Amino acid sequence: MATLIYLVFDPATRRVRFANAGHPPALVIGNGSTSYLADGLAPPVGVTADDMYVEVAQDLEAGCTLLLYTDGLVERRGVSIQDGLDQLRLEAGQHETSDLEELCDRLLAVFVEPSQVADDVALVAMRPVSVTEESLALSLPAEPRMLAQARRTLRQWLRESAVAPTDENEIVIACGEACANVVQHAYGRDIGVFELEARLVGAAVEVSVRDHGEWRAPTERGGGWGLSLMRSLMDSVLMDRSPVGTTVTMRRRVELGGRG
Amino acid sequence: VSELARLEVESLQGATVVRVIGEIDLSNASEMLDAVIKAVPSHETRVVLDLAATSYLDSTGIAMIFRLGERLQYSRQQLLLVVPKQSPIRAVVELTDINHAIPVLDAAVEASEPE
Repeated sequence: MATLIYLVFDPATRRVRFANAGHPPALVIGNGSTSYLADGLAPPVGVTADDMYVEVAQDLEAGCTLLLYTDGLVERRGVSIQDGLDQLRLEAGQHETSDLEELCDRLLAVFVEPSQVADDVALVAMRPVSVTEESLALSLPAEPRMLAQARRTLRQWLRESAVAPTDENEIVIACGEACANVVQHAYGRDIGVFELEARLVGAAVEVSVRDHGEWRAPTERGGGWGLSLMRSLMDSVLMDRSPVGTTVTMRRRVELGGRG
Repeated sequence: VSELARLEVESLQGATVVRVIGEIDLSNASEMLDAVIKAVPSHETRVVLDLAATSYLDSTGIAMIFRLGERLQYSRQQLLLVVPKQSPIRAVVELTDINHAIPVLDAAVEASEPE
């Protein structure tokens, strides 16, 4: 008989999916509340003839830490497992901002007395961070209804890259204008695509919007307000035209890490 | 009106307030214009377009508001905008100088007529 917890974490959606065969529940530490992923508990592996395990999903908020451990951490002679779990929750909750190494050291120091270890102890702590080197690349049909999707995706990437809210908002506006320009003007009757890319360059965000349509002068491309908004909200706006399309590249210095 | 936005209409003293909840962009700006015009009674003298709950407004939306102002002026109705200072669309409103043509208020209550 063995206990097992199986988790899959998707960093794009921050969603944890898991099944639990008799294992002590995973602990979510952070954002002022610390709680166990108590759902989805099923008997240990090998106990029942028809192995049926429920899959449960939960979103992990940004900045939270997921703690997995073996029962050796919370089971001690003379102490009920529930008391052990309660203690672990309280102790871990006090270290929600500690770095992971520190958190694990602290928990081992509090819960494991080297002379009395009856079982082996394993700890796994995971805290998702935004991968700031990662860039965003998106290709969408050049249709008006796709604009909102482009904005939402860019917004999410800016948030995950810890760009401050004011910067996020104004970059989304400038980029929305660039994308709307393509949708409105780059293509004639056929629907092409527009490509949106975003990346961090030092303390700046660089966004580029590319189409494969015919070049038209900015004024013909609704260049009035759209272009002036882009120029006002970004530090630089470059238009690169070629026979195979146009690329608008914009940069803006941003405040990073403003979201805690 | 569209997947991106919906309207709420309320009669205040001396003004009809039309609230836009959601986003206005190229995909729905002209629908919004029609819907707002339809929502305003013809006898109303003042129309308040309340954008306090509008989270995105692009240059097509700005053009729509200018057109709305012109249409209302034609029928001797006055248009006012509500865009709070901390609104995410405040920058767009200021950078396009729309306040030179249409009064921009911080809150809808300022639009009701003084006693």
